[in-house]
Amino acid sequence: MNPRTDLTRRIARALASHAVRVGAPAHAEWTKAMMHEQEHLPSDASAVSWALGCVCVSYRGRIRAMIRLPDALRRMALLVILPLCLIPASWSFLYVVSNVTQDYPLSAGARLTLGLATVIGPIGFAAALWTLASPSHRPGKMLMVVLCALTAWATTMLSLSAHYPLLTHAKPGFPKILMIFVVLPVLAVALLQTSTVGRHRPAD
Amino acid sequence: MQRPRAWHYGYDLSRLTEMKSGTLYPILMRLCERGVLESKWQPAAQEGRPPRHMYRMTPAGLVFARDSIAAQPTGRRVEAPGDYA
Repeated sequence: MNPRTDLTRRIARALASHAVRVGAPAHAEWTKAMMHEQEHLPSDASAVSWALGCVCVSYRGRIRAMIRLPDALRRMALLVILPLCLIPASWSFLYVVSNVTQDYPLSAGARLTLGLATVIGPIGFAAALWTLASPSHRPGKMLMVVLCALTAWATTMLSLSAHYPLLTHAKPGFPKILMIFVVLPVLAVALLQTSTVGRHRPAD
Repeated sequence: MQRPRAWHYGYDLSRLTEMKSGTLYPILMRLCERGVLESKWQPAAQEGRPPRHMYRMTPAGLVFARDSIAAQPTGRRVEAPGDYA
């Protein structure tokens, strides 16, 4: 074996060994499998490339293991953060509904617009509770479609209301508050969706 | 799918699929977790070489692969074992 080949193989081995050391304990068998496979590759260049792949996989696995919250903690975080995101929309929805018969500064059309846009609040709440109470703790595809559609609707309607205050005949500061209402339901739906990422049902 | 129940090394799969190790292995891990693939250690044929990890499709994986191929022209998505319902 010539010195150059020897050096390349040593680099590949060093990289693969590093990958095994860095890898998450749960994936120890896999990083070991990658390291061993590297010893069987025909060319030195492919061995180095293979070993670099091992390093990437190990670091990705390690980072994921670090940021992955246990399920109980994830549910707790959802329980705390989701209401915070949905309270403004829910409050706004209740306010619009309770003022329908009163002398409210909004026009009838604006009330309808705001009511429909902020309905994401109570529906989001119900969805979050249903998700947390269901045995699988996941929202389900249909529910996510409905929530995404409602969020898109809320975003559009509240953005329009903020950009065209005449639509709502509201006070000058009101459109800025509406913009906050746009961001929060989006965040809530994103949270609900990401809460299921990386969790798999065991194979049958 | 020519020899569906044959065992393959990681390097063979890498060449067959033209995937780098950094892409291939996370996929293999996931497929094993979901019961689509099974793995085993095979002692090296040459002395002084480390054992190798080998992979093959499980019966459930085979059904999934066949359904996926059959569904391809229609674009219908096939649920993998372990997928969300």
